[in-house]
Amino acid sequence: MAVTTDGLRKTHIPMLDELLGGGMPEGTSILFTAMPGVASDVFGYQIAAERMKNDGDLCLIYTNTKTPVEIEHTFQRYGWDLRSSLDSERAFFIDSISPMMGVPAIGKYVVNDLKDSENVVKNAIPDVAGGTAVIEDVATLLDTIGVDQTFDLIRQLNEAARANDVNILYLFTRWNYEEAMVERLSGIVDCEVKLFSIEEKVIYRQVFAVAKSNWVETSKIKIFFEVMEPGGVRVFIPKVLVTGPYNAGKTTFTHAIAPNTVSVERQTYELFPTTVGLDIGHIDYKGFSADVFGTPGQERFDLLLEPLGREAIGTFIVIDSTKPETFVRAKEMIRMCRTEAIPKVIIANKSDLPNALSPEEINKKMALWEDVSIVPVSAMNKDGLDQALGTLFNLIYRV
Amino acid sequence: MAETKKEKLDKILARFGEVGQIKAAGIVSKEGLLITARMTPEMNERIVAALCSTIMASAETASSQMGTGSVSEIHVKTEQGTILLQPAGEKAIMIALAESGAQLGLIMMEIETRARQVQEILEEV
Amino acid sequence: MDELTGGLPDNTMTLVYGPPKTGKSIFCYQFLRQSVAEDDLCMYLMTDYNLSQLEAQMMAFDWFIAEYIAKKKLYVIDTASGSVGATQKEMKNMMISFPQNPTDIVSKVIQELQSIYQEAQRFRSVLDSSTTLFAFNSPILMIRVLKSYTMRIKMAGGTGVITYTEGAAEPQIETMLKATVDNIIHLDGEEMTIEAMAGLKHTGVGYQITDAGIAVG
Repeated sequence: MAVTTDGLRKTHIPMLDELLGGGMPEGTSILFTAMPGVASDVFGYQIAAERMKNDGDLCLIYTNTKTPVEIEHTFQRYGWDLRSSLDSERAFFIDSISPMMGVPAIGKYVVNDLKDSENVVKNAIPDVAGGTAVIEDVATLLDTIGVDQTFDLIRQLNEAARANDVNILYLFTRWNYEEAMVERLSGIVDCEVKLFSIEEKVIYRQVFAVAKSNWVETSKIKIFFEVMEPGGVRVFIPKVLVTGPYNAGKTTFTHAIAPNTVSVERQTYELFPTTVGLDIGHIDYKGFSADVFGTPGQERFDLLLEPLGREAIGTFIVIDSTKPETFVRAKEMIRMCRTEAIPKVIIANKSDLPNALSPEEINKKMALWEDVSIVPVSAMNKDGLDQALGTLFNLIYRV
Repeated sequence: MAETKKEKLDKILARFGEVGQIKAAGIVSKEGLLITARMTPEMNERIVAALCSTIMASAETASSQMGTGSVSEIHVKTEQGTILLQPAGEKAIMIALAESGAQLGLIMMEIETRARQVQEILEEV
Repeated sequence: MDELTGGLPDNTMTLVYGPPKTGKSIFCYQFLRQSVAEDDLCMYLMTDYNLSQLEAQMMAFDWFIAEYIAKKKLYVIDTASGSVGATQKEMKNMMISFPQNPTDIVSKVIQELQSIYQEAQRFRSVLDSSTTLFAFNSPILMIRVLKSYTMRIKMAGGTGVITYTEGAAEPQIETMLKATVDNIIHLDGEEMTIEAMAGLKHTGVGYQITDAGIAVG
């Protein structure tokens, strides 16, 4: 049972659907080309798992590298239930690895000789009509049955997929194959998503990007991602800054959006504590994963703003909606954190209080130099947080 | 007329400075406000106070995260001297900047004694 | 052997190959023992025995690595234990993988390299043996995997050894394997031949496997 929006079927990978214009048209194929060391399997499995759960998809998994037991175990690690789909026969394996290892094969279909893969899978595709097929791993095919046979296999499977409205997902570990061959490979599928890693000094980030697509114009956007156990693929935002004038509610806001936040703050001679160092937390929200850093607001700590603001890729500027006299200070802090040039959202906090200004009034009073979204929030009551997060994350990854 | 708390604290700081090899000293609140200090003209006392509270609070938070209990002293060894921080009760921090090559043993004993005196004064009713 | 060649050249990959039972694994144990003596980190990818067995095998030569392991200087990738969902918890220096899943193996190698890289500029690596890996995978694919492995080890500052049983794969694969490494040592049971080594000419010498390891000469 396919679920369509404008005829496109979601992949359920955060940001991938946006990059693909909403999802995959029925019957199309995606090649996940992964540099060795970057996991491609989680992408294939996540699409299958989410579709089985949310869209009622039938699913087949062809494997020539991991045993079915290993795959089931992997699904479990990510928090997805493959077992019940297997039991209810809504999902099945095409086992092409166990015979090679000399262990009992598990699966509706068994491929005893890799050369037979093409026929077995082709004939199995109608079994999952309207659903999803995962093919793991193309590299093994290339090196066992040869380039020409593999290309033939992919062409045949794509044809079968098109005829049966099946989305077919190829997982490909890109060892040191010739560039020309890999380009040709990209040419015989409808879409290619590249997975690779960026090593900045020692910090190592994983990235995916849509290299080509037959149904939508591709943008060059690279998406940082993390793989969580459980959880699967999460789009990763390395640093989100939370700043703003003294007592606007930055620490409260940070704790509200990132419950495990650690704050370096001290009790003042007044009623409430003040941040003397920073707030640091982590947020997991709708497929996004981000580290959050909150600054102090008191002027005597202004020297901390620049180092705390370094390399942030998005900012929340928290202001007290009832205190327009602090707006100038807010603008000053934006400058000191060096966040003029990055995506930002103004959090009009304490919006529940009777004398709180409305976003329109705040906009006028702040006289900002650009069009910045202003979201009314009550950090204490946890209102408006969803809108705040959604607004900033969409800005950061504006497709 | 009886001495104010500030006058008492100033006296303690003055005596502390007599130890020798101490370039600067101060008493700051844990929230980063300056209580009293004797620093060189180049130093911005307000900012130094704020940042020392950041160091102490960050160390305390780190220690809490690592489960190692309360912080008793902090030494920051720098190119041109050592910055010493010692809690003075629950609300204040005693700071000292010792020259390079200073006899840290003596200075640390002094700072401990003075910190206790500061604590008593601040806790007086 | 070190007297002969001055040890294995720094930051290179060495292939130790020969017929079965000629001391290739013992060469690896010796290499690890040297690592312990010099307090270097060592990444050990094992295919036919697990860590306990390695420890036991080395004890037979009076080489003790328990303390070295306790200091977390040994980074293990165990592809021998094989059971999925093993109860043994994976740690940054103790990982499990499967011989038929080279993608996963390289993934674990890269993960361990990140930890190693943060601790040391130089380290050693052992892969014992590639024979088992060739048995589980398409030979050409394995060559690609070993190329990838070798490149990663060297990039991170490692000096490594890979073992291989002569005849386990076809001649052209063996040739490709030899081309992937920098140095080649052949053990035939009696003679140790250095077929290639940076800065050295072809040399041969007799050797014996004794209670104290491999004795040359």
